[in-house]
Amino acid sequence: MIKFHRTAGALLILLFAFCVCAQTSEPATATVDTKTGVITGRVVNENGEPHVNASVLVRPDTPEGLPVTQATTNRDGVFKLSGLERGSYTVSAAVPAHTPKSPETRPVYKDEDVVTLVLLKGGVITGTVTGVKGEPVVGIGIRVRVVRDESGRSYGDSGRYYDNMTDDRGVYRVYGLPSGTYVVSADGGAADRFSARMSVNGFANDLPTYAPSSSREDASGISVRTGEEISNVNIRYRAERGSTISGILRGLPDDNRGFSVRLMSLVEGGRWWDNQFQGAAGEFAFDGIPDGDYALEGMAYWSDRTRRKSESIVLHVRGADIEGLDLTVLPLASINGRVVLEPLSVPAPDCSDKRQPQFSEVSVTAWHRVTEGARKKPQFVWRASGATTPNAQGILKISEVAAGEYYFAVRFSAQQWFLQSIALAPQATNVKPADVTRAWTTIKPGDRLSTLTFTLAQGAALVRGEVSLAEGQKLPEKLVAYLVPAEQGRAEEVLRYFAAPVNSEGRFWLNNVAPGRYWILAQPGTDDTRYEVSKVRLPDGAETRSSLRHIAEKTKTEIELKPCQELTFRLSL
Amino acid sequence: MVSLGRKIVPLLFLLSAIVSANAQPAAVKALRATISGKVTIGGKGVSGVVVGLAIATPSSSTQVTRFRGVTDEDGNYRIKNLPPDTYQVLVAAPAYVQSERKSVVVGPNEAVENVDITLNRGGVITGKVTDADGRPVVEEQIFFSATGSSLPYFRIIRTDDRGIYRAFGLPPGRYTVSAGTDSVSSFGRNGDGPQRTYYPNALNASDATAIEVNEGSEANNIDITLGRQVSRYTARGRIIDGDTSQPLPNARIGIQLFFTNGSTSRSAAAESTKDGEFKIENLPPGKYAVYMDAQTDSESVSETVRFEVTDQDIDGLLIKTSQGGSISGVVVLESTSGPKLNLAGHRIVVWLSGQNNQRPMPPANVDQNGSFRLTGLPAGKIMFALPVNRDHLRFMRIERDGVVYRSSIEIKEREQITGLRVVVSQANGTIRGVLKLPEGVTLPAPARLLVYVRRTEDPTPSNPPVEADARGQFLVEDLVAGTYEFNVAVVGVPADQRLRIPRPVETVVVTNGAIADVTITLQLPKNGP
Repeated sequence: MIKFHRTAGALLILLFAFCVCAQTSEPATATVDTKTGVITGRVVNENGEPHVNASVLVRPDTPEGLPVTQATTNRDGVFKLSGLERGSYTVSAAVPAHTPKSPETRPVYKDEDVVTLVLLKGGVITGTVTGVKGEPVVGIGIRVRVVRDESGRSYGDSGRYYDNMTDDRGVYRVYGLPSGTYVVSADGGAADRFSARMSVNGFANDLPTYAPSSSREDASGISVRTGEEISNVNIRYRAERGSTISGILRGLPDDNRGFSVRLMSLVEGGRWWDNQFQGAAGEFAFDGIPDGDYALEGMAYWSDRTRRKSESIVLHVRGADIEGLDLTVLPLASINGRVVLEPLSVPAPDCSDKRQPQFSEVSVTAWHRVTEGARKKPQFVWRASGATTPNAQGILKISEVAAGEYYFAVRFSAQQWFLQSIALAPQATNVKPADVTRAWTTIKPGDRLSTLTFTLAQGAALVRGEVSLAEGQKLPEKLVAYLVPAEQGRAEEVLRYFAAPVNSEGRFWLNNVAPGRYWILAQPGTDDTRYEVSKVRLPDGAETRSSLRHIAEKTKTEIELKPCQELTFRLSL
Repeated sequence: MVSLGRKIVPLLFLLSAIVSANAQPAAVKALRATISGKVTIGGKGVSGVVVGLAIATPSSSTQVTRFRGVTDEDGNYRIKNLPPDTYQVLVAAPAYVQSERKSVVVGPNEAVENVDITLNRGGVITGKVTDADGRPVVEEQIFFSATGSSLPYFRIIRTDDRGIYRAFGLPPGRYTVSAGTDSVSSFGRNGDGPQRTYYPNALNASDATAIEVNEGSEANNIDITLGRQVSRYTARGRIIDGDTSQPLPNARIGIQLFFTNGSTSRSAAAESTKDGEFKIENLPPGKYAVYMDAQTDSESVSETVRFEVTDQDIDGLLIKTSQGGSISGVVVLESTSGPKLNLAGHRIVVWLSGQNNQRPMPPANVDQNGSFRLTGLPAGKIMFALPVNRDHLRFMRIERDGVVYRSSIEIKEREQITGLRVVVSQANGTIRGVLKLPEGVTLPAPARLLVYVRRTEDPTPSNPPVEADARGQFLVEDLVAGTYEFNVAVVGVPADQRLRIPRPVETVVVTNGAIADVTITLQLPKNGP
């Protein structure tokens, strides 16, 4: 569930691209014992009293959040975790029927921090589910899903949910809820989290009925605060049949290690379902599906721990069953690459900073192209966001890349270095390396691309900018500052375009800039500043780059950056 | 309840280019059968009840299928479009107890009628669990175990945020109710846990007060106060190569748990550090054994080190490994008329003969040439098998230097056996049969008939027995080609009421990929029961 929230978040923030990533398979070559980090802390209730036997999970503050380390509090509510890699971590604790104040925010701690986690007695929602004749509905799943949390953030249908089941009197009780507004549904797809269904689910074909007795659109929002109990949230069950979607997933290996099929609503923040049923030969089915537009995607697991994935298909469910779907899993691609460092051949006066990029701090990302059509195909919903780090020799491997079109980005932390080129060429041959920054790189199922070379060069400049306003002029909101190459013949060099948001004080920083001559300008942005900033480097940002160039050619505010120069610049609007 | 007139929209209409046509050939659809019957409570039909079907999976657990029906106003249901198989009929009525789980063997295009189910209201047991200070114990497991009823019955549920639990749909019987931790079984659980306590406040099952459950009864206030906490301890030790005395880094340590009732289980426990040291935490008092969990291609085998935790941490456990035995050879497919199969990707699993719940040995992978190599083997009688696989391949025998071994081969310490032939055969023949009782003879109500099949050239039955349904029909799948004979036994009634049925004279010839039909006329024993 938490994983999905991450995915949903990524979908919202990175609308323009999905990221595919993987850890390098090379083992860490560090010889120094770095596992010296310690995190200690206490888990307490709202009155500061200890929670005994609380289970505490510590995860590295990375997209994968692995490995997870676990501890338990003692009689004083105290826990201690040692032997951690030095770094940043998220820490969470669990006590039955209790909840952190806001479960969606995960504070980050450094090793050696002393952490206090407060777990409050969660809210309770309880009621009875009855059928058309007033009889109790027994053993139906209840799903209580947050639609708005205490901070006012809305979640649509992708919010955290809490399941339980009705008893022989039709009574349910869901507890441990953080403060917020919820919708409650009697839902054949929900189940008591402690007891897997052993027998036939009598409600599997039904659509959920929301309290008091409606579809999702007309569901009542029920507000509950921690420590509070809301009773009589009764449901009159409607027993309406939903659609069934079924088919077969082909291309599974003989020693099939399992497969999964995911049906995902195309509505942003919409629901998703994992295969409710699967047969040995790849048969899958989803029952009780409401009308809507969905994407469907299959994934299979091989015995060598690799996975294969099918194309995603779009389904329009309109009150009828969809049978006989036929998907085939295809091998995923991988990309071998390397990061190359190119120091200055001639020493430059300003390049005194000896710090060069550390491979362990470099991260490389493959971004999936999301066109209007592909946006409706949640490619790789199982893994979104994250990055690959090269090994000590600069060698890297991006594995499990779904077929599609990609561009590549690299992050590193060394102020006087810049990204000079990203090129694809077989190693040790005379083939001319292909620049992959100008066009999307098409990756087909099972491709083994080699070698993708990221060249980082020494001599990067830094621009500290400030927008200077005329008397009485107001700073426009959402400004973005740009550098556009001014030198003859460099107009097409994607990596010579730079962008940064202008903050509310009118300041901006353009860093890791290749030395050379640039036009500098600021343009109004949109709400999605992150997208604006990335767009100048997207392969299909050619139009954006060209229009920036046109504007810059008119304003002609030119700067020249020498290797490692730090320039402070006042930009008039 | 169910809206009628819903149509299946052809998918091609929806997804023109992406998806190909329906996978189900029309010929298979024509073979689809139906099961129908009536669901009653107190002799009256019940409407709107969902009736589902479960099948046995290759791993012999049952799996609920998607085939379902709903009862009409008179309680009648009909489940359609069934492929031939052996089904169990299950009713979705969690507050009720189903008269019996009816097994039905369905042939192609068959309509099986009158598979009737009687429901009886189950009993309820409810109460509260508190700790020694009277505070509710939240999400604590509650164990229900029925004694005295016809079948052993066991269920686990949990208390809610108020410490309250409610079990419903319980079949009649005498129940012991308990909460808390059964020492060793809580291995791996973090922190302290309360010791298992039986209602009303006994620490031993024998001192528990049994609760009588009858049809529709409700037992209230079955409250349990949990007492003493189970303490947990840590065991530390080292793993070394016994031949060189060098520490073994990154070795996976397995642990065996010995329960008070004599059963055992195994679990992964730790991984050794670069100095070969390992640490296992959260051990409740009890008896244990540690060993190296062998991995595929590991040449080493370890001894088993037993220890007992009483009231303190354990230090200085020492696991020594040594060079294990190995067996290599080729897998050979016994000649069949069927298509050629690729043996690559199949696996061979082995275990030691005559030991219960033994340490798992890593399987060997079969390569493109059919070769395999098993390593890290202890001395003893090594048994062979192939895990359940899609090609229906089954282990048949071993051949070594022209000598045939039926099931196992003896290996000495550090012995390296080569040139073994492991003969496998495809087992995808089916027998579909019907048992006929002599005219005028019926079985007493709860009695059921079990059918054993044995290939005449094999010494023992090659497949687990199957149950014949109420009409005497049975289905045995995954059979190797050959001539089979039968044995039929009566089960489900006390031993003194069991008829001993003479061995039927019928035999049937099974070929791969085909169904062989047989009708067996049962003879009554000459001298009565």
